[in-house]
Amino acid sequence: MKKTRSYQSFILIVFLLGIITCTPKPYFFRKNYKSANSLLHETKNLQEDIFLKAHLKNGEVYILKDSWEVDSAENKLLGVGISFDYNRNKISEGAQSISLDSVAIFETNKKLGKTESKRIRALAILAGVDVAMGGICLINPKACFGSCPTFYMNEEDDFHFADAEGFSNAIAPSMEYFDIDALNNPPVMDNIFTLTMKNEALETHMVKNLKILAFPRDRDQRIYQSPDNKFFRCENHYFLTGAKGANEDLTDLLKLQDRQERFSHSDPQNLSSKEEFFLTFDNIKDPKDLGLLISFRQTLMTTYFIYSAMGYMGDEVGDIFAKLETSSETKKKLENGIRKELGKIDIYVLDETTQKWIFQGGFYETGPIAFNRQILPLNVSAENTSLQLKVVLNKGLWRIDDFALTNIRGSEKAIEILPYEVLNNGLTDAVAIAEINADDEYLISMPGSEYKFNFRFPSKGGDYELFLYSKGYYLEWMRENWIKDKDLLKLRQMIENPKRYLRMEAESFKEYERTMERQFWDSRIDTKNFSYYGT
Amino acid sequence: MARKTAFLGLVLMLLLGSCKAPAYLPESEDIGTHAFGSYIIIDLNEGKDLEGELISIDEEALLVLPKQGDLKIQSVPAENIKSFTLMYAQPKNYGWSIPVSVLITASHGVFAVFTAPINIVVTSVVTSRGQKAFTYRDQDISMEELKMFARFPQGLPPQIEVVDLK
Repeated sequence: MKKTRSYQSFILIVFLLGIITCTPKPYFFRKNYKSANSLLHETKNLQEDIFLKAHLKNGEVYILKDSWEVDSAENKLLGVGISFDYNRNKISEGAQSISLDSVAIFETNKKLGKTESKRIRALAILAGVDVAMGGICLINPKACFGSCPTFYMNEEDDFHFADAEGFSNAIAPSMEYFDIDALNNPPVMDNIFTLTMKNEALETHMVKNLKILAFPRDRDQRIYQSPDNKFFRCENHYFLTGAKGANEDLTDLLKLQDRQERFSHSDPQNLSSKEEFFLTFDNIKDPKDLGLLISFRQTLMTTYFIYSAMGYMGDEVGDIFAKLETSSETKKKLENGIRKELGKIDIYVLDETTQKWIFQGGFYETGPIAFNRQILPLNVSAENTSLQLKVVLNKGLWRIDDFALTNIRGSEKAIEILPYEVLNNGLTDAVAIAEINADDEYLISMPGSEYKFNFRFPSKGGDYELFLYSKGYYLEWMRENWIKDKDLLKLRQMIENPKRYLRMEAESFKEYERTMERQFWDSRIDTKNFSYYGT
Repeated sequence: MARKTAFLGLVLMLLLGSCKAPAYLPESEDIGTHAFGSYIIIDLNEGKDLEGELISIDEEALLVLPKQGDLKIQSVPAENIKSFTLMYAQPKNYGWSIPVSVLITASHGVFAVFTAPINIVVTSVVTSRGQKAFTYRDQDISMEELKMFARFPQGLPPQIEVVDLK
């Protein structure tokens, strides 16, 4: 896939360059003639307007425009133009009569054709692509500009390599919640840890708290987070030995945490259609206290729903959000309606004795940007060295990088580390540090903002597994072009009858999925080694 | 990334902007009515490189009138010429398109990672090609053909003193 994208990019660039570079040089526009005869003979059939220069033996030059003639009887060249001396100072202008005997060389010049047309065309094509891209981003800003606060361990990274995204579901003050994301960090080398928070969307981010949850770890240990925010110290890593979908072998896609993701397209009839695939783990050396590891994120499906909902609200968006703030019932419906219909990534284990699938739990995190690394403790027999699992999930909603098994050695409590310094544009921001560490204040981050948070670990030299705790909400900026999409009936259907809405909206989403999904994910440029652990 | 891209664009713009043509050269539509010789940049085998108006060419040497500074007319033996570039009209300057196209990609959000480099490559090539549109290099044109682009294609008239040329 990586090669295909690179190849496509290369072809596109070559195509554009080809357009530009095939411009022929206007090489044959000038000709010299040593006699009037050869001049007349070789220019009589030319259709283009020809400028004629007569270079005299004494160094003067006559430049005649368009109309000139050779008077053979008088042995003269006649025409209208300008004459210059050898230093090219003007001698005369107007009707000219030149003795042919005084001429050393005649020179003709064709007018150059449309010399710039190819270059202008190339720029026009480029401008067209740029405008189209800008238009797409204007209509679907979330697909282009990200969403929620995005966090980076390397501040130079772009949106596609975000290490975490905070509180994606909190689109109103009353929906504020905390979010914990695994940072999947490399071994800690210093006692200072820096995290950059960016606002890459047309949103106002209200960040109430931000802290690092740190767990000391030994060389062969990892700490993973469960969907209910418990933390487990783990050892060993068992790779997937087989994965099968309805008509596909998914083993290669799901075996490694390499950002080669498994995803499917939505059902064109019903957006809440489910699918399933099966995982096999063999040769589990220590079958005791197993946990299932997963790296996953969402497609742009939930993004589509959030934007659609905003569009349906139209110019009443303020009123509806006010109602949302004051009515817990509406808020509950909004939170649980579609989300409940779409469901989680549900995990089942095959009971070898009864040959029945036993439900273990599910994974859910909103957001299409950062990967979530989580663990689900499995309730299975400690005897089996092989395990079969079934994964049931909504079609077109999830992108899964890998599955693996590990041994849980115990639950852990985090060391909570608050930032000791906040940098805003490289300068210490005393207000920001006070706001982020106070329980009743918010750090307000506007589009384009970048804050760098510095954390200090309790001891130097130790290694830690790090998780990001972020709490807050964000306000989506209403776009002018959304107002015309106002459809309160559809909004009502979305909230009150999500099952029906997901059926009715399937066709429209399919169009969005065809364009935005492909462009969003194809734009990713894989140049990095993503796993610090080779898992 | 955005900063690196903008920096790259700026560097390219400056590099391409440095290849400026002399003001005396005509616009491409006026080449037929231009009375002076074309502008030649000569890379010499020995000695300092030379550039200026091509005055004339004879069997042994080129006469070049430097257009900058107070240098007098120079005679360049043909065998001392390593390479040359001849400019016969004002190139079209598309240098503006590099920063503009990079700025436009700001509206592409994350896709700018993809579109900005393409924009820089395309606009740089367009600018570069625009700069070279009205030039010949030594591999494009023979010495005999080069004569046509001198102020005196017939050769320097015998009655003209080289020192009198301006």
